[in-house]
Amino acid sequence: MIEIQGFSKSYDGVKFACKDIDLTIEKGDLYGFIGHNGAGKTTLLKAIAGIHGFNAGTIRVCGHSIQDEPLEAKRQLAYIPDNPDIYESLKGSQYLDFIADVFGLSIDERVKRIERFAKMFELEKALAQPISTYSHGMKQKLVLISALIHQPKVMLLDEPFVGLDPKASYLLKEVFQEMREQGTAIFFSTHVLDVAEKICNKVAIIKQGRIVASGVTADVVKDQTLESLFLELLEE
Amino acid sequence: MSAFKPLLRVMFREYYSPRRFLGIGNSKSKGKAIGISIAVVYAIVAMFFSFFLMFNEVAVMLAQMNMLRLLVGFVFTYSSGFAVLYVLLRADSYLFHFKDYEQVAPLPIKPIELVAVKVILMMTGLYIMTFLITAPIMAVYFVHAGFDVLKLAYYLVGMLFVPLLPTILFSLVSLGLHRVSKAFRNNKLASIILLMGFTVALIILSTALSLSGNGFLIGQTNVIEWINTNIPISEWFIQAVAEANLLKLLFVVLIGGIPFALFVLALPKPVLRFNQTATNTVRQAYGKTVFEARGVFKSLVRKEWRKFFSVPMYAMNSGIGIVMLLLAAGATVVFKQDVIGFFELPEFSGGIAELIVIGFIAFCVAMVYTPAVSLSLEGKAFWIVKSLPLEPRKVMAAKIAFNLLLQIPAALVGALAMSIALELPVLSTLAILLFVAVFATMVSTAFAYVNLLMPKFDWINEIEVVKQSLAAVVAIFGSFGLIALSIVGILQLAKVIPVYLAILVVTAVCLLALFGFARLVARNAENLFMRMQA
Repeated sequence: MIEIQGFSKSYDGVKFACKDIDLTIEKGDLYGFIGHNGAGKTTLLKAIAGIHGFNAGTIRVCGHSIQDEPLEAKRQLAYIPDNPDIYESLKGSQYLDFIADVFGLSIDERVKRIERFAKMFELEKALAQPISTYSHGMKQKLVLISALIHQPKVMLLDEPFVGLDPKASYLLKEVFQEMREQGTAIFFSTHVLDVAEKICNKVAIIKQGRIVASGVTADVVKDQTLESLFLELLEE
Repeated sequence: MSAFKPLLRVMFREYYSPRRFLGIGNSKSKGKAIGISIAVVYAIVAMFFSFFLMFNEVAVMLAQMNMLRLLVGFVFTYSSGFAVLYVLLRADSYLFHFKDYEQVAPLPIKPIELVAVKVILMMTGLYIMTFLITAPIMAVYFVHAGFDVLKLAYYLVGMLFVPLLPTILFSLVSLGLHRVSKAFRNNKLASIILLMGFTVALIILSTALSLSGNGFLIGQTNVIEWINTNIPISEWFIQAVAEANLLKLLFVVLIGGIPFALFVLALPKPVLRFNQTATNTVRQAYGKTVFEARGVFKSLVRKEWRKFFSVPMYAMNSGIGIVMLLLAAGATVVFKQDVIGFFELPEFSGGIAELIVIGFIAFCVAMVYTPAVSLSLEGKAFWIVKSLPLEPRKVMAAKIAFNLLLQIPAALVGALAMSIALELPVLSTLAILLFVAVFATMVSTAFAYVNLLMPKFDWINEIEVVKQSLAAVVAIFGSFGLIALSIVGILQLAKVIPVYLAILVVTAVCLLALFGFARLVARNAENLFMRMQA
């Protein structure tokens, strides 16, 4: 679903935020992406989503190159940033309408899906309110709903659990499992190592822009915990 | 330990550093920084000499009447008048409702220090602008009356105090308008209407006064004379500068300084209350949730529409041209005979009525410049359009289309009304209508290209983008250049062919330019989008 080969990205032309990254995320993978602050997690996620260009390598989403066929690639994916900066001039329902329009959802489809996820994340009543009145967590939930309504084949999430209340975090994990069963590939960055260890079938650890470990969680972790492995790799 | 100095330093960096103000400062973009610096210097020099030449003519006339000191009256009136508009549009966000309140509130900063810093920030911008406007007038004064260091010093000191009384008064007006608009259900729209109404009333008043004599400049001179006679501080300022009168300067300093100091001292308590209330807004009941499906392009245009009407400062600044157009059209029809009589004044002798209509309509059209700022206004939410399956050129096309929806109906109605009122021939009227439609589309597309080249995503308040961003400045001044070129083109062609044909030829040139700009937007949007980092 996501094939990354030889990916390198530099913001200033001197220092590389990501260097020579090769990674494959397959159908149904729940892939955790772990690294310290500034390691290059967001850079890679934004490049896959087509938000940033990059210096070298290729990224393919469902077989479509994000550089050569950006629209086809983006139709398959949903991206959720770490900070939910969204159009505050709109109401929640208007924002969801906008996203549904872009993905060409019929009125029946959008209403059905919005109602389901808005109910799940307890946001139904807030949808008629301007986004400017939302709390951080409410905005995070709205972005999540906007990502879920068009049923993407690939989900990219940057620190999805930050800002969510415990119930919403639990529900998100449930949604992850459900989507995984339906064949969606989910690639998300996180600092919550025990969550990654518990729910992800695969993990990748990035250090100073390079992938230092990746693969099936059990194979990567072996007889340690993900936390001890991560700390060990950081110290190396 | 006082937090005043560090707070002032950090706020100055935040508001006035080249990176924030102009979007430059990145070591990687030296070429861009040099280009922008040259453009800024050029704009300042061009503005200085335009004002200098304009007031030089006034000075010659005043010198003949032995009334050269009236130029200092112009300095007083212009700086006070500018302060009124500047403060009216900015005081609410600078002084009363802070966007960064949640960042500064938890810090151990005395409210008076916070307010003082905000006042200094607002006044710095005001002083820079009033100095840029009045310096050429003073230069003309010194050229004709002779240079005097003391007079220069008194002018500089006086300029610090002259805008203070209007600042107090119109800060309160700004706050009052904010409070009144809050009483409405759609308070954003109410705010736009109130601000727009107030500004238009001020423009109408000043224009009516300026046109009260036997010509524009003479009319203004009459107004300045009236102000000097009826507003003592104006006369004191003139005497302080023109006669190097220290006592009168002291009057100006005290009459402006004391009330302003009291105003600043009185601010902390209410300002804290306003901001605390704002952060604790109780949610009201909102309407029913309704979903509507529409095409992608229509959805994008609708997004622009909602943004426009949800940010009063945006609608106010980039929509004033529409109001001016409709008002002028109405006024031309109602005061038809007066307008025709006005065109018979000496300043307009030998002029062509078609050119006046085209010049005015094009000027108003250029004042509707949403595509020059709407990309920047995406701000931190720019990731949304970048990550969605949307072609960048479609996003830009929607921004252009939205501007045309604002511009074209008002421009066509205005042009038609003015053409009929001025009894222009049918062919000329049709040519003008065609020109207006093409010119509006061309400048809207050019504005979009300017914003693609000069985006500014890093802003705290929308007004930084709408009024202060480089794209906005380049778009407005650039379009004035295009208007001048069109007028000169028509004027020259009209010497050899009928006026309506001259207009059509220039329209054809504008059409070519439109295709050029459209091609630039279409070809470069994707590449420029990828390079932009919000």
